[in-house]
Amino acid sequence: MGKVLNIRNQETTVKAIKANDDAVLKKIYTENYKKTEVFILKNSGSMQQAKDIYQEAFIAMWQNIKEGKFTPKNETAVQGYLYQIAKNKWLDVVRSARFKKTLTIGEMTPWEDEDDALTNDGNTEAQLAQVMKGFEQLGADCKELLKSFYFEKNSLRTIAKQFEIAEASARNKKYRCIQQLRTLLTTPTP
Amino acid sequence: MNSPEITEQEFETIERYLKNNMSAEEQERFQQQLIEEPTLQQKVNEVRMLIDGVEAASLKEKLNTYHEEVSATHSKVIDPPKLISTPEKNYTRWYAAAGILVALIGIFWFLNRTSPTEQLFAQHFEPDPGLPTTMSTSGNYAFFEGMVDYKQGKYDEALSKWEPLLEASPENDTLQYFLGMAHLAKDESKEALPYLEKVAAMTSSSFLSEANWYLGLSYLDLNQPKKATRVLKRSDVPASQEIVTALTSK
Repeated sequence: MGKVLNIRNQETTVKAIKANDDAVLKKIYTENYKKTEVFILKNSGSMQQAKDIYQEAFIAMWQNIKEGKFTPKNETAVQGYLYQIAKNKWLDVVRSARFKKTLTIGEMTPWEDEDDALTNDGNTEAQLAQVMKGFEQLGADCKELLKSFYFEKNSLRTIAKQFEIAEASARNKKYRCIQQLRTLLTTPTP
Repeated sequence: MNSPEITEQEFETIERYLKNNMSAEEQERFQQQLIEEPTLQQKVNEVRMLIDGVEAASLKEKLNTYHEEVSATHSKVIDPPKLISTPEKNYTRWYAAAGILVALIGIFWFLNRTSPTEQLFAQHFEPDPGLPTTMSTSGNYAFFEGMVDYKQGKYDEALSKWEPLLEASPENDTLQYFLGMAHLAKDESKEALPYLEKVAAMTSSSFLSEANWYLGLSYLDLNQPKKATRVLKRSDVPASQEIVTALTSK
């Protein structure tokens, strides 16, 4: 509890997000979902679409903070930023040709000005999505190991213990898993 | 994506570079290498993308577990169809409540702040312009010095010069009158009352009419319309009759 409440200032919020602090990420996710959901539901979206858009926005927010593209002053700034990205993403969907075909004009609500600077540039985002998809196709072991090392920021020593292997083997296994991921990307499954 | 082969050693080096785990010396050497070998930059970009993707995909898994909590609380509280309409309703109700509250506070403040009598006061009050301060009337130097301050709107200074004079001549209606005026001009109607009442009681005073007028205004400011009517009737300042009719017609 104390850990969650203590993310008032900029440094700790940014640090916690960069470190993928579970409690902080969870708090930001759960506390802000509702607002986005209401917005998307009111603007001709479904619950599933609300979830997808929100998660995309959450990842974009996290990515931009990690890369230093956005430096929130406090947690409130993070919340506002997250909502803004989600809104823009949903408006992009609403504006897309495919979506327009399924709706009459009257069903759509007017949208507000877009702020393209908020969303990632399309190219990297598409590439990232591809890698993410590739990751899903990896074996459970590889997923587990890569997640432990890259997301949870565990040391190779910890991972070696976790998998009951030597540290050098853990390092090699990590490399092989990455190689697997690369192959998945270069030979896309139909 | 037609990417060049990346050896394990190369991968570890690139990873060290991306994670900022290099020594200053190694980093410098690596950056030099990046300039010389375009393929190395390509490899760095690819590894960065891979690591980012792995991290993002792991986060996404996490998000799904977080989401279970969000939707779990939802279904417990309200069913989905209701969810679509309730938030808006709720908000409008709150906005309405907030609006009414603001309006009430406004009305309350308005009533509290400016009662009709106070409005009359504000509408009519203008401080007495004061007496001419030609130095020929040097008989009472301190009084006219205070008068200079009074005319310049320095009421506090005027009061501090006039108050000591009162002891020597308590029956001086001019002094009493302007002491009252200075207080009134400072928006201190209550303090002005004793002085003005005294002048109003001196039937021979040349300030009688004015004293009654300002006394009436003081009562108005203090929200005592009956007293105000009584003294205003004795004043021949034209506006006083106007106020009297306004007060009695209610």
